[in-house]
Amino acid sequence: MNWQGRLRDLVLAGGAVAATACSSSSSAPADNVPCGNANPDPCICGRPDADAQQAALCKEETSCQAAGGVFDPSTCSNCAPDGGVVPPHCTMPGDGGTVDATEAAPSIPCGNANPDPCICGRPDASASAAALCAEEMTCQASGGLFDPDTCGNCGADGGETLPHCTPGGDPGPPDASRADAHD
Amino acid sequence: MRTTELPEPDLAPYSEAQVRFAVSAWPMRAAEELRSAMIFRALRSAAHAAGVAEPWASRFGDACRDEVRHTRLCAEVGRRLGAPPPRYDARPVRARLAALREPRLRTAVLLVVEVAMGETISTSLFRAGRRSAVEPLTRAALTSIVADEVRHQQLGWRGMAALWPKLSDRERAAVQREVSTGLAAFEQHNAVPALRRLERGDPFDPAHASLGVLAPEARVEAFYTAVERFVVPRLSKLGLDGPGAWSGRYRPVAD
Repeated sequence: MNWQGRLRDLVLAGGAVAATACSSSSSAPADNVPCGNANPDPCICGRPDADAQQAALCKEETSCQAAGGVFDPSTCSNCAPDGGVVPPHCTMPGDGGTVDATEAAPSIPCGNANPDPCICGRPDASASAAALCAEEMTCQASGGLFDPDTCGNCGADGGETLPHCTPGGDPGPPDASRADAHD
Repeated sequence: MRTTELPEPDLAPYSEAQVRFAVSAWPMRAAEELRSAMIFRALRSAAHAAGVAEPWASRFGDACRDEVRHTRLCAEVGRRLGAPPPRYDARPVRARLAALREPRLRTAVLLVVEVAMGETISTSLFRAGRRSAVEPLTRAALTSIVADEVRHQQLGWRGMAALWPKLSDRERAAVQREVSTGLAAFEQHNAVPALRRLERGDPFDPAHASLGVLAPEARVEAFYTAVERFVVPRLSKLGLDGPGAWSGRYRPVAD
C-alpha cells in the first residue's frame, strides 16, 4: 500500500483526530489546523515570520521531524507530568517504547520539597540542574539510585549532603526505583 | 561494538549543511536509547517483585546494559560528527511507570508493548536506516545497534509467551487495552510525522539517507511492514486479539 493509502487508513481509524490533539502538529493540512493559543505549533499561522523565537522553534521542529522525530511544543497545561508546562522537545521514535505516557501522568509536585533536578523544567532553567539531571539519567541507566540530597535532614550531621549515585545491586521492588519515587 | 572500535567518519562527500542536519539525529537517538535502558531496568525490578522466575530478570538486566552501551555509542558518534550533547528526560518513563503500579501487570505490559512491539518496530526502522546509510561511522553504529535490537525483540516475545499463561483474565484484558493504545502511540510517533511530510510534499535530500536519516517513504514502509507482518500476527499467536488491537487502536478505551 502506498503512503496515500496509509494516510487514508489512518484517518478512517480515527488517528487523524488524535494527531491534532495535545501534540505536535505542524504538518497537518492548513485548513484543519486552528490558529490561536490552543494550537502551540510554532510553524503555523505565520508565526515564524512574526516572531524570531517561533522561527527558531519552527526550525527545530522541522529538523526534528525530518530526522524522524516527533516535536512537541508542549504548551498545553495538561501535558506535563507535574501539571505544568513542558519545554519544547523532540522525541525520536525507536526502541523501548514510544508510548506517550503523559496521558497517564502522575502528580509530581514542584517546589523545594522535591529536589529532583529533572522535573519542572529545571534542566532548561539552570545549567547546574541540567548537569545534575544528566548525571541522574546516567546513574539510573546503569542501575543506580540517584539522590539529589538537598533536604536539610539528609546528612549525617543534619546538614546537606552532596548529590550522589548509589550503584545498583539488588534492584528491589519497582516502587523502590527512583522512577517511582513520585507515585 | 565499543566506541573505541568505531571507524573514522568520512564526511568529504557531504556539505556542511547536510552533515549538520543529519547528525542532529544522534543526540536524539542517544536519549531514546537511555530511555530504553530505563525501561529495561524497570522491567528487571518489576520481574523480581512479581516473582517471575529467572533467567528473565537477568536477561532484562543484560538488555539494560546493551541499551546503556547504545546510549554511549550514539552520543559518541554524534560527538565525532559534531552534534551537540544529548539531553535526557526521564519524565515520560516516570509517567509510564506510575500508570503501571502492580508488578506483574507492569512486567507484562512493559514486556509486550515497550520490548516486544517497540523493539520489533525499532528493528525495522534501524534496518531500513542502515540499508541506505553509506557513511562508514554511521553505518557501523547502526549495524551494531540493529544486532542487539533483534535480540531484544526476541526477548520480549519469548518473555511474554512465558508470562501470558500466568496472567489472570483481568490482567489479560488490561494487556489487550495497553497493546491497542500502544499501537496508536507507535503510529503517531513513528509514521504520522513522515506521512505529514509526504502530504506536504517536502523534499528529501538523498544525502541525508547516506548519513542514516530515513526518507519518509522508507520510514512509512518500515513501520507498517513491522506492524502488519510481525507485530499483529505475533500478538495473535500469544493469545491476544492482534487484528482487533490494530483496527481499534483509536477507539476510546473503557475501564
